[in-house]
Amino acid sequence: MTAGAEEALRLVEDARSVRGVMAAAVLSVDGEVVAAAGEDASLLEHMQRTATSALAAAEAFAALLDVGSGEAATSGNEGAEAVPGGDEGGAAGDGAADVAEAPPREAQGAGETHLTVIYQGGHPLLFEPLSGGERVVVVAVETHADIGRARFQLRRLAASLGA
Amino acid sequence: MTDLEDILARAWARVGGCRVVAVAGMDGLLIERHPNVQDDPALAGAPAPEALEHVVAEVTTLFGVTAGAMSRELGSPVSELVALGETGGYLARRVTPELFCLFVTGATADLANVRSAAEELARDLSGAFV
Repeated sequence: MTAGAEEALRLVEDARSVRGVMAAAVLSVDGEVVAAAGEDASLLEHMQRTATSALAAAEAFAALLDVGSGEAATSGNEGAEAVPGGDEGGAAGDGAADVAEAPPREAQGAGETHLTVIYQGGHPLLFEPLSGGERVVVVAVETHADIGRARFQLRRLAASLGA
Repeated sequence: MTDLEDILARAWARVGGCRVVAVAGMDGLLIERHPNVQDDPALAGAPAPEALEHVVAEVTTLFGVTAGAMSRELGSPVSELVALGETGGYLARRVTPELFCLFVTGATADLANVRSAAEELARDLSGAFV
């Protein structure tokens, strides 16, 4: 096991120990699972599918933003078509935004990272980009009441990794 | 129990008449509370989770409101809010620009004691997490 994989596994276990977190995973920005833990296999699978869609949508959003700022005009049409795809996967929240913020990409040129919360019909999903922009930690929480705690603890965990 | 829960539990124990103590983000999301209803159902005096979430959201709004003319007039940001009623009250104190702590008390709580505990809690939270 590589050092990166060990670190991801430790992060997943730490995330799982936060009250309200039902499953956790570290994914590459391509959607590949680096490490994952959760008692419900179907929830993990759902997380991975949603995360892959969300990351693709984030890529599209980033391209769209680049077009808006005149930095990457060639990606405009692709981005516009891909945006609705981010809502696939049964998004049925309570009126909140399905994708609150896009994970940062180096292409955006921004050094600051942001958390993304995706409301699904079941358990809310939270994303926290890790340092380097190559990996993202994703957790599923039991209810919306657990979002604040999970987010706070995820930021601490990410910071401990140098995010 | 995490560090955060430990810190809140200590603060709660220091204030007689405290119904619940919580820490929340300035975006209006509750982060942690003590006592937690799941911890001890016997602690029924604490607000229900949904009720506390609404209180936290409103306190966040109040901090936002007081950051305008009231802070300018004071010459420094408003860092503490107190709201009292006949049956108890609320005391919120900024911990960092992104965090605040909140005490919900019954009518028997001593406000001076609550303020002192809030100051200590803010210090503890700052030391542990900032």
